[in-house]
Amino acid sequence: MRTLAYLKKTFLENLREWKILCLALVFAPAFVYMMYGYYSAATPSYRLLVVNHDIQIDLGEPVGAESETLVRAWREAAHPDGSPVFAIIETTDLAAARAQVKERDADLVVVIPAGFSAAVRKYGEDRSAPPARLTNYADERNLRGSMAMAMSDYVAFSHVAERTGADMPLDVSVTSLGSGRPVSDFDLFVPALLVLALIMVLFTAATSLIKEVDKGTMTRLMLSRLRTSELLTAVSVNQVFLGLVALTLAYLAALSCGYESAGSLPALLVVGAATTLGVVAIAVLISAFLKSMFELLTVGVFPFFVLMFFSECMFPLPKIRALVIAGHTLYVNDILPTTLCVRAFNKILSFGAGLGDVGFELGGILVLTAGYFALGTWLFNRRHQRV
Amino acid sequence: MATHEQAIALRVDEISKHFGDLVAVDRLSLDVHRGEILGFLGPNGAGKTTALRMMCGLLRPDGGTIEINGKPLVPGRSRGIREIGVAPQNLVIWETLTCVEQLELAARLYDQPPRVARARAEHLLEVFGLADKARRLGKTLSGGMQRRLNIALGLVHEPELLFLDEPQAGLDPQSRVLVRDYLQSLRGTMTIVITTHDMEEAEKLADRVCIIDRGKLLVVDTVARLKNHLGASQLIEVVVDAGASQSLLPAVAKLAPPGTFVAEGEKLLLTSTGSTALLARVLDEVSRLGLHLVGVHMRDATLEDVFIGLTGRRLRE
Repeated sequence: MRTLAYLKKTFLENLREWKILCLALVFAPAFVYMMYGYYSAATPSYRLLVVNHDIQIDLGEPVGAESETLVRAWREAAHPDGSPVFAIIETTDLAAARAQVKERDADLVVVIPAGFSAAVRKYGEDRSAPPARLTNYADERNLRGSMAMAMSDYVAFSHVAERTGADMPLDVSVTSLGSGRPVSDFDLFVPALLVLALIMVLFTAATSLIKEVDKGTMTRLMLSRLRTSELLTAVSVNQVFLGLVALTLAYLAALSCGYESAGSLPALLVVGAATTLGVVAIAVLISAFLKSMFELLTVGVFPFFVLMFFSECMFPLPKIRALVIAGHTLYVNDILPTTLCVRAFNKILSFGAGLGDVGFELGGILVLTAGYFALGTWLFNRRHQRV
Repeated sequence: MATHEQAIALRVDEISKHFGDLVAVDRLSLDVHRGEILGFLGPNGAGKTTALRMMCGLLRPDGGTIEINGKPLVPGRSRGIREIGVAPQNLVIWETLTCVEQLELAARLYDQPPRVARARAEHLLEVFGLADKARRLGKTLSGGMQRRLNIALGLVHEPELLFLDEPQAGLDPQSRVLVRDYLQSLRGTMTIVITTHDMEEAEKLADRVCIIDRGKLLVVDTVARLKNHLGASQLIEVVVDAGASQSLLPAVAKLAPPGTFVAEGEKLLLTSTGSTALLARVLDEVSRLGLHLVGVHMRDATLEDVFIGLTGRRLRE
């Protein structure tokens, strides 16, 4: 009964602290729309600048025929859904093209040298002739540049092999582990963006606890019969509800942007609920070290960013192995329940995994949650409820 | 008929509390009788709030024991003792809950059923003049209303022993009367320990008064007995030229026992018994020293006189 009474209280307070509530609920969906707007949901077309010197000086056979067919091959390269792999821009100004790559206005510059057509034809007739050459200019810090280079090289090799009758040294087949549909950059971000909705609970949960300390009402709670376990249960139930609402809103936002999930919403919600509990446990731990709302909104931002960045919500991190349990490798940043959640969400949303398939991640999240709760409750008691 | 032991609601036995080198409470012993209102007085920093926090289980004493209705109070393990109600010195209310919501919550945290909690909340809102503010959020109330709500929150679970830490601070005269009247109506049914700096309020409310200073108990008794303890139920003020009262002191020291007179600005205060006879001799001295006599006043001794007499005039904080 005490837990229910306190649950009602913390729920009402959350509703009336509408600015924090709105921030928690709207943050992730807003990020979804921003990322969608930024990347757009279209399949990636790499911007390829082609500087073709082959046309001007090949005077024998039809002028620049091989380079023209190569450019056509690049233009015709398409994703399974028919969308083009490359957006081709032909130019004659190599310096300007390189500058565009540096500015990331383009992903790759390919220079087709003079005599390219002649070299291709010669190689078709005589395998001992020197091979035709292409020169790529790419920014190694731009992942899209590397991707564009790999794909343009593959198209070029295939095309020249076909034109010269040469055999490709390897026949590589690709089997998609996902749905097989083309994946946009936005699609790749969605699982992590959904976890962001859960991380926001860090603020609302910590606010519920710190406010009692800041306003002195913790004294009333200490005098009453409410136990720490009841207090934390009430806060957790409320925050899990809030987390699930935020997660659902973010998921709906992604769907409204054309995102197609391969997995089930119930599985997502179960993992989401467990992760929210983990975030609440971390909030309890943080609250043990803070005494005022001001401290929460300044010092408390640090753990928020730790969760955001080290859970790989923003960008991938190097995998540093920590240990292997039952054939599952655990990495250093798996100490955060949100990292395991990103992985589980990725499996559910991208590969259609069910709860059984993410059992290891779910178990890990629950074990971490229990650990954080135990430590957080002990510290919270010592720091704020000790007589 | 209740025995003496049964009549003790709160027994404090030699409790002490140190904060580093500071001795906040020094072997304080006190019995509070069931149904009485005890005024707990002391200058700033005397250790009142520390003592009070120990008495209601919010602070662990370094030594000594506390019993509530004959049962030992074990700090940390006596959480949620139904017998105790507290209205802390600082306002401790939930700002984003309405008045009725917070009273109901406080009652339910002491296991009162929802209907009882609601009825109790409505009763206290009525008593403390907050009925028309029942649906207002705590943060939207005026300072005085918040103060009244703070007291009501300590009463909502019908405790047997109520600790009020400076409940009158920040209240307007109307609110003071309202709170005082309500507390007086509880006399006999609820044991109340009230700390205050308002001597007049303590005099009006308290059955007995306890004065502590530097963590030590100085005295505990009824106000009337304390006044007698001071030596006289009346005080005589001899008013001379500004600052001249000091020049009277050597002569008065020969006439009156030590501790029964004090010079304060232009006033000389006499509190010794037989002060009327003394007055004539003091007036002779005024004349002999050629001082200008401005006036002579006689008034009843107050609790403040007792308090100042025991704790001195020097500022503490």
